[in-house]
Amino acid sequence: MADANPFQDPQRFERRVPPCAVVIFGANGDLTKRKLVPSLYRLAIERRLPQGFAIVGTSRTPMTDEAFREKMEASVREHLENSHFDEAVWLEFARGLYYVAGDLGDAGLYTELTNRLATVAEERQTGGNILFYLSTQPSQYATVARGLAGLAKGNGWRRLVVEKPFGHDDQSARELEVALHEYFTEDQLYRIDHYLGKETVQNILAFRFGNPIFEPLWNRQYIDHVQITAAESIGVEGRGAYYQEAGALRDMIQNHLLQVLSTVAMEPSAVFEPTAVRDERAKLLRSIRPLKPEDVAAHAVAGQYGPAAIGGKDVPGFRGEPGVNPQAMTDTYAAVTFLVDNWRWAGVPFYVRSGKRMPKRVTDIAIRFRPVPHSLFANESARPNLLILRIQPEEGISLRFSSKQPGSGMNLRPVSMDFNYGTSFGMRTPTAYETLLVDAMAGDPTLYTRQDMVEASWAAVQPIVDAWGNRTGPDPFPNYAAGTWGPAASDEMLAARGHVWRVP
Amino acid sequence: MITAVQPEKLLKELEHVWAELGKGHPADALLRACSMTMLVATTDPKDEVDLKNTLADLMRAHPGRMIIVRIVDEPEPVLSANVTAQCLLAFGGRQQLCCESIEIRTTRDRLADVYSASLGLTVADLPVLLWVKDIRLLQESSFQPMLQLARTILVDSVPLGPSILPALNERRRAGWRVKDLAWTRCTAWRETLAQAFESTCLQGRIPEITKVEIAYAGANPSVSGLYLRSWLAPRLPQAVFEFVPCPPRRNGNLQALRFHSTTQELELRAVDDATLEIVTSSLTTRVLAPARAEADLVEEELSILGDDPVYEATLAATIAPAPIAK
Repeated sequence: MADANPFQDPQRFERRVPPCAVVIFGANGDLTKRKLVPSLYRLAIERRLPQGFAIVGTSRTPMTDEAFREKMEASVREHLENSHFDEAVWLEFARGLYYVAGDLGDAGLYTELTNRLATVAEERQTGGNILFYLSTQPSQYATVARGLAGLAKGNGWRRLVVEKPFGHDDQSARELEVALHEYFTEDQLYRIDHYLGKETVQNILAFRFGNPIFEPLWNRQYIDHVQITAAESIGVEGRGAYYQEAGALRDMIQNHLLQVLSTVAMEPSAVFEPTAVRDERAKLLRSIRPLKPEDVAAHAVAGQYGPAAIGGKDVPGFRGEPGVNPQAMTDTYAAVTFLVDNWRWAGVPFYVRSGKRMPKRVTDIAIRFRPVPHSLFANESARPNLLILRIQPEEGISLRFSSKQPGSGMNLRPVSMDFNYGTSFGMRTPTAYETLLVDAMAGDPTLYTRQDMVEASWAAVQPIVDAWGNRTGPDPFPNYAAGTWGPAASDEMLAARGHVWRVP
Repeated sequence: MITAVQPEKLLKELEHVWAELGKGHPADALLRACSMTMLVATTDPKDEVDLKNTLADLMRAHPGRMIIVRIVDEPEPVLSANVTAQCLLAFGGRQQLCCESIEIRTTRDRLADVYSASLGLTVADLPVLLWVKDIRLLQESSFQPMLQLARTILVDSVPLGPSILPALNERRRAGWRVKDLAWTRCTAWRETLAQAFESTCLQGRIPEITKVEIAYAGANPSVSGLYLRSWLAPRLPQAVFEFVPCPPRRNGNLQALRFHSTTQELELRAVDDATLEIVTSSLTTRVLAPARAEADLVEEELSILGDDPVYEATLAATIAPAPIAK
């Protein structure tokens, strides 16, 4: 399609965003205050928002536009990481902030919203384009979608951003799909998984498909196994009530980490376009071998942290956290061995683990290559190469290889070649929410999850959810102390295949 | 101090600097990073601190081997060199990022020696960029060999104004990638304008724009103003362009772009040193566009790895412009 804007210069300018209004449901919530509005403000600072732009917040709390602006200003000031607060930009940004109070189940809210959006379109020249953002309880998604029935079509485009979880099991994920599809088509739906918006997760694609030296090695011939770790040092931090219903498997592995796995393991798409990339991700997720009930115990380990003293400070066990049922059977740690049944990955285990109250906060992917077929060196055999894709906290890539130690004799020592994303590019990298919000406004769903991907992810974890839900026998929890790397059973799961968890 | 510039000797000195730096640190505490060779030619004896700071800022995003060629006016021929390394702590990291710097002090009559020495000092297999800090050097015959060291030349045409543009265009025609910071300064204006025209309503009105005024402060339109005219002209072929003087609202020559059409007016104008304002008949919005540091401008240019067809076409058009109404 010919470019209708002759003033664009893609080599220098950031991705274009058309005029639009962003309607946030749950505007008084934590996500809006900590992530959404600060991200949009940072985009304003960097001149990435269109001239015609507005935010309409809605929640139950009665509030004037002015009070909403003041509240958002306080949030932006508090949560503006690595950026300065600019008064002049804020004043301009705040002129485009509006607020509508109401109950999500009340038809009156949507009538008022319709009227307000018409006024906003006129005042702010948004061209009638609207991005709806559901930052509410998941149980209200269907209600809001129904409420938006009258607004789902009109002048300009309409898109609906939905936060995870996309259902709490495969059945509810399909029910949610039916509810949303009643009013919105699939290409209007943007299911956000903020992990996919992280620069380093996107960089996996650049690393794999922009560097032909790695791709020939990226298969079962050369890769022994893959470990994906997402560890948090903190506990549930006030989210106990939510977390005890979710657990590590649902909260992290079913969505974030399976998306990361699919990025590591997918086939190259023919082009870097939304449908092509998402097709490949979906194909990979569908290739994950579904576990039979009798195989779950050997392929998945649940853990829950108990109390411990960390650094001289006593920390409670999960069951002692505020808001948590003292008999909760929640998995605060989950480790799963996934097998991908396709030509490239047959027989290569993907070990995925996530836990709370681990020794440190770290997310990385370790690709362990096969050892040398025959060791030439008597004293020490070369250790297998290890490629580590670090997602947080220090984003980058490290390659471990063996080198001769200086001096006489042929002694090998592992050394590391490091690429650090922060130091190599120096500049502030956009947060995941900035990237994803721009993508949604620009109509690029590449980094958003499609329904078939959601269903394939659920298919991969549902047998584990079912097995853990039907657990009988003595209470297994807690089975790891806070501040450690998880239960012993997790180590045993890897040991069964002759592997060990690396210490990140 | 070296009295003749011998590449092998300098490289050996660099190795020594690295060995010294590494002493007392864990093996992974320092990262010797290099993504290019940047030659910087300067004649300003007072820019030592500023240049060092600029290069340090650049190093964060574009680490490389910096070769500073400091051209001095001395009665006797001078040629000397020294090496240093500069380290900074990475964002939130434990590792220091280090870049190496070679400073060559020379009189003009020894520039041919600097050229031959520099051939041995550029890093293999990585891009070489020549930043001619003093643009007058481009017109000096003794400096011409230095231009052969790089296929990318970075200048700031502002000190010489439009008179240097034909020389830049000649280099471009001869196959060099030319980068001009006067063009980089237009980015904020161009990008803001492009964002404004993301509105389909405004896009539809583009064919109706019949006149564009470029408002400037000072005696004459600057190179940036001329560039903007040349950039806009093929995008608005039906419009006439006019340079109009106006009182300054912000530092610099360029003050406003006014688009007149039969149905709508649009103005992009400076409000103050940090802000631009877009005014249409129905909406006025402001964006932050503070004056940019030199390092920031250079960084934008370094981030364009290949050809820059938009600038190249603009430069060519600026040399042979349509008649200016003034």
